Amino acid sequence: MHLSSDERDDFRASVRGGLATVIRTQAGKIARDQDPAAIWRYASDVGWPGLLVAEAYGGTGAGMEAAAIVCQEIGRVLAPGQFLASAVLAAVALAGAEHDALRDRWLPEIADGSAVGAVAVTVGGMKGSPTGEGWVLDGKTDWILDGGDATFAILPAAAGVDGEVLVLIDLASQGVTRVPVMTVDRTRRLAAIVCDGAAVPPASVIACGGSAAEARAQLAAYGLVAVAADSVGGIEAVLQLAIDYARDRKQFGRPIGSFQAVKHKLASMYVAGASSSAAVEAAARALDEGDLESSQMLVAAAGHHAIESYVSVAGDAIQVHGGVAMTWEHDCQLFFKRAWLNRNIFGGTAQWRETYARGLVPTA
Amino acid sequence: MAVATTHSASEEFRVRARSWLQAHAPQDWRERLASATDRQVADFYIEWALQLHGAGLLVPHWPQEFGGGGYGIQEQLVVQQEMRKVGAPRPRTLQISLNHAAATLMRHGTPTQKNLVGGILEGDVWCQGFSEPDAGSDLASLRTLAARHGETYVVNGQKIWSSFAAHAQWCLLLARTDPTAPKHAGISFFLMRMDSPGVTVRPIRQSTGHREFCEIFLDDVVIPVEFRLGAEGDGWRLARTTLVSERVLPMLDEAEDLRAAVRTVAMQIAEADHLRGHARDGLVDRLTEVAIGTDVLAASSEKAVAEYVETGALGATAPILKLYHSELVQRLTGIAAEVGGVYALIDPGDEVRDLGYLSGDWFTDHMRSWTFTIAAGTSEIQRNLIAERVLGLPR
Repeated sequence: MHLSSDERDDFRASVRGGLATVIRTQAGKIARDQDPAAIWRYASDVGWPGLLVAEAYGGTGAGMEAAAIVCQEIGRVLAPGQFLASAVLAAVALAGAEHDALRDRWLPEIADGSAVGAVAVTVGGMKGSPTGEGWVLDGKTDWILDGGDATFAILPAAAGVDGEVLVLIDLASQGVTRVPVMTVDRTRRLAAIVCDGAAVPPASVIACGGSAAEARAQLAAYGLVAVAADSVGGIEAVLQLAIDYARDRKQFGRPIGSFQAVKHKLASMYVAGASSSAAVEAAARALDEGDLESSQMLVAAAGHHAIESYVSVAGDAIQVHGGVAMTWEHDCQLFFKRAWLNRNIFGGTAQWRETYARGLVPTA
Repeated sequence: MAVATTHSASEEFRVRARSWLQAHAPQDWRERLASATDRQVADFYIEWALQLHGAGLLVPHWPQEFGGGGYGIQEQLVVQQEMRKVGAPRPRTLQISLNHAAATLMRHGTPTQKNLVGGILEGDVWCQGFSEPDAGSDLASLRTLAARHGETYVVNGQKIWSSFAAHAQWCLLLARTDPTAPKHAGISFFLMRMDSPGVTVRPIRQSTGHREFCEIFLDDVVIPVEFRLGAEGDGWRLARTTLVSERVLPMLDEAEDLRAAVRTVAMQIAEADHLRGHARDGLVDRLTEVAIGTDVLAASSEKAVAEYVETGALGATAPILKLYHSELVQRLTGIAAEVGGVYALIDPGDEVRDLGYLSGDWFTDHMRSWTFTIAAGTSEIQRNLIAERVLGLPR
């Protein structure tokens, strides 16, 4: 579904307004103790979890263009939560699952928010062994974004002669342990998944062999565009902090924003944000409209540009603020740390740059 | 750039444009112009423009009352896309005539002045007399004086960096009519015939060897009052209203030219036997950054076009385009010239033809790229404008 700019603006306004009612603030700033459950309840009430779920399963099928708007607004207020993992990644993974049974079982609950999925896109130390009926998982997936809030996880595992297998595993099932992973980005809740002889029934296999690798590549692309959209929201918010500060803060008897060195830095930050916004919008639309192969370069370009811009804009915002932004209490550090998690998650931007380079210059 | 052409009229238009261009676009024009004089190159572009106009493909986006097709900007972009596909040249000599001059006349001209638009469609070349030796980024400090004598003004002063002035019939001129007024308030806008007595044009040989820019010396040049545009003292405002949008509109599908150039450079790196190991990887990495930037520029331009089609104005996306584009061109041509090694630095000779800003003579293109980061508001001025007008920072 292609949104007109009016529809985009309306949807964005409703998302922003809705989040404002559930994000806790303290003295005009984003509070550090957010309530992910309350945010998710609101999201579920207004149907965000079903944006990428087909209507037949109770979703709206609005697509990635709309989901990216939600990601962007979530990023603007540094919200914790399940949206990216469940509404984007789990929904996309299940839509492509081999068995209808898996879709029938989970997609309606994904769509209404009663179940929360989390998805890993790197194999890590997880191994799958075929049994007569299904698979057994042993090992560790080092982290899953939003894994701390999930009902089930979708994990890739190394699978010997089959290469790899992508399975869904209920996090309450026997032999599965979830361990919270604290990163520098305290606005998000990652978790490691440890499996010790955890049984996976045949119906819970999403893909096997080459098609598992393809599914993983697709999930990484959606994940990249989602954190890129999160980054656009973060850029806009942290840039506004810096602009407000540059207008108010006086040194040498003038607002520091009147000095050209500061002005030009802020103008460059704005250019980085505005161009990122356009690129992510185009990439989200490309995922909605085309196959993965045709959208791959644009996805890599938009993801790389928006996330790298976030890292540099968040650093520049600290520079504009001066010493005060180096304090624990200041919000700049939250944006900076979230930018870095965005950079290194879903393959890392350096790897996406490599993907892009391989598509650009034929290797000898 | 994939412009969304939602209504079938655009598709019909595209088909018509394509078939005409396939039959009529000049072949081998780069080779043929390689030994032509500047005058011959200019004549070639003008002749090509007139042919395009005959086919309804020069100004499809102009209103019909001015000789246009009454279409929108999408149709203009369609023509540009189809021209690129067949390797047809843009009529560079008429760049100011077709964009900035035409928009200024249509929007602000008296009925008599509006008639000059018709001349553009017969090949009138317009140039711009804005900058002066002592008024560059601080354009409003310009000192060329227009003194009122009855029904005429007598103009004295000097203009510089006027592209195409050597071939021009007309000039968009800014001059001071009230030296006692505050600097922005004392400026008026004139339409000056370049064959007026007292006008002397001296082409400037640029660092690239091109002679696109000129100096214009004005010595008691008489301009009738009827060729003043707008009210006396309103020149600064009039110049500003057309300056930004008319510069950006023709740029809206430049990303596609950049993309083609990126692909060419990628092939040149792939085929460069002298590049190995980290040297090759480093160049690939820098080219990758530029290529990503080009995709981002394309997405930004596409968004600007969509905004323009919906609202009739260029939104907040517009000011970033010139800045972004010019800096990408500079980086790309620099990488390309580095890939070429000494071969990229072989002296092209004394006479360099104006065959596009991504001509493939990468060092020349690289040197020329500074005109993009300097002309029509330097990158520094662009950043000031963004900071003050978009972000609301104090002056």
